[in-house]
Amino acid sequence: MPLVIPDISLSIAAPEVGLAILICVVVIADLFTSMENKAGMGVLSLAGVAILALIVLFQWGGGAQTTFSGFYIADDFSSFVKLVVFLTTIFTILLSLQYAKVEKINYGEFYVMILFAAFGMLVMASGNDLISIYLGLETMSISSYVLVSFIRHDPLSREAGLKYFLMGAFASGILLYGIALTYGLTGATSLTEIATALSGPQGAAIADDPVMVFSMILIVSGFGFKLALVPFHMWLPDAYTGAPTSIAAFMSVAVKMATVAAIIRVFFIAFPALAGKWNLLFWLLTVFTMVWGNVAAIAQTNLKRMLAYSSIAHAGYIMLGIVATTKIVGGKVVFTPDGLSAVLFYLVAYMVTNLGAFGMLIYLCREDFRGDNIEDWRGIGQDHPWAGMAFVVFFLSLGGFPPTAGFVGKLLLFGTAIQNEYYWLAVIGILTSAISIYYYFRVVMVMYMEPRGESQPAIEFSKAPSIFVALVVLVIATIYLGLFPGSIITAAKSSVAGLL
Amino acid sequence: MVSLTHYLALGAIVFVIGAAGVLMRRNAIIILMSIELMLNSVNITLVGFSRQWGDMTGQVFAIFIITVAAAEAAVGLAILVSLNRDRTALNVDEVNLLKW
Repeated sequence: MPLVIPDISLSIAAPEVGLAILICVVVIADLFTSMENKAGMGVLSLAGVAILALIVLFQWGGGAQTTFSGFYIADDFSSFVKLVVFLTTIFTILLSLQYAKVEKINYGEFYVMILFAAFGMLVMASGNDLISIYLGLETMSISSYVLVSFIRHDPLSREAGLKYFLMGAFASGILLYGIALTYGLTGATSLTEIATALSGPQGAAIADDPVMVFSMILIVSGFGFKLALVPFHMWLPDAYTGAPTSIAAFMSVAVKMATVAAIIRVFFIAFPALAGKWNLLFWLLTVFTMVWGNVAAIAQTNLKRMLAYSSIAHAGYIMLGIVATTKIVGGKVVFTPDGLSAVLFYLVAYMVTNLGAFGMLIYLCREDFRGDNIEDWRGIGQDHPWAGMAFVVFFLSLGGFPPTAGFVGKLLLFGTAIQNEYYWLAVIGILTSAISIYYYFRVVMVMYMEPRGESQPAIEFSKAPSIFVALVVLVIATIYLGLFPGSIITAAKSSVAGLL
Repeated sequence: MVSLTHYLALGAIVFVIGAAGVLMRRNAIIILMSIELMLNSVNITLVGFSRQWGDMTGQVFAIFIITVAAAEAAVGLAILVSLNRDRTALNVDEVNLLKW
């Protein structure tokens, strides 16, 4: 048998190749940097990621191209996801530059691990085969385990790392067993070949096979763990509370973005034949997630933990968009791209908002005072009106008020749900958003109404320009996307147009 | 004659043992070992199917899973070591600083 070397076009995978080179450069440069100058590794990563983001912009509109024997696909959808991942990485590094010194985790490896996680996310966004999606998922997860437990001298961080690791590895096992059974039934791991097998002459028989349904349930659970959908969410509040705050921000946005991208690809490209079954499963998970995420957040006294539960709730809203993409017409399931473009817009809105909310915690944090309890924010609205206002903007956006990005995002999601006749889903979504306003505005009330206690340390915000710049940009972006969402919605629409 | 069913049955049994171990055992090292059992059961299943289909994809996937499992074990054991510095036992019930 002649050995055929497959046609590999590296230019299609330029963002990944570039990021891999950047990681090597940072690892080597780290060896020649003294302990005081480790922030330089952050600046180096920042510059590299900014250039790579430009490369992704350059690839935009190039149509779908596959390489590595169909393992990898570059299209507008993957470019959109990659841009969000790169922007999140840029903001995370900006927020980390000084924060890493405060938490005494100012090592070059910290930035290297962020870049490795971003690499995994890019592969997930571009994965066109269950193998490459799995490998991207693991690259992202293993780097995240390290990042969560990065504050080695803090017992909370170590504990968070252990919990996240055990749950994450368990979830990978479940996901893999589902993939193995799918491979057994369809004889393929490529997304398009699975779809072909399920729509072929034997397709209907395979799709109705209980083993196929079981394997789909396993895959849904595996992704559900990674996205922290209720009831697979137990690890998330612990992981976010113990993790360095900038990493909690990074994970709450980028990990969700990449996982949603993988879910969209796997379920809409490989399993359209099973859409009637998985949309029911996702419907249930969405309702549980929206309700429990918001209800549990009410009871929190730690702001980081409250934001963790709020991010569970927001994962529920994102899944609402994915469910609303499916529409049942005359007993058959059809896909309407409006739901997916709403999901993508919501993820962008959620990115600027949630990075900002976690960024405010970093802004207050200093070496002897972490400031992540709600009562630590007493009196800030009176003493520091601008910082208070910035936090209010982020809370308005998280709660879904105009004129912020979160309002437009929720409008699009609930609008699609109503349009495709998911009335209950929309009603539950709107009611749970109303619950969320209670716990977001409790913080606002503490900031403006309660005077600062005698024993509380004085408010002293970080003086680092990087954090200040990041927060100003995020506030402006949150309001800008609420007033002028048009360009992002158009981009989201055109990126999903080629997908379905 | 060892047929595909034998491989699948073995894979399923090992998977269930692994999942039960994760959910029921309280020692972090044993949980880690149970997760490895789950991953290996996937490998058995994949290789069995690969033979059945006469297709190498399943075997290649199994090799990837072995690689990832090694990386995962390295990170997991490192986290356990750092956790073990101020604790002697690795009982997960004692890892309880964070709870809602």
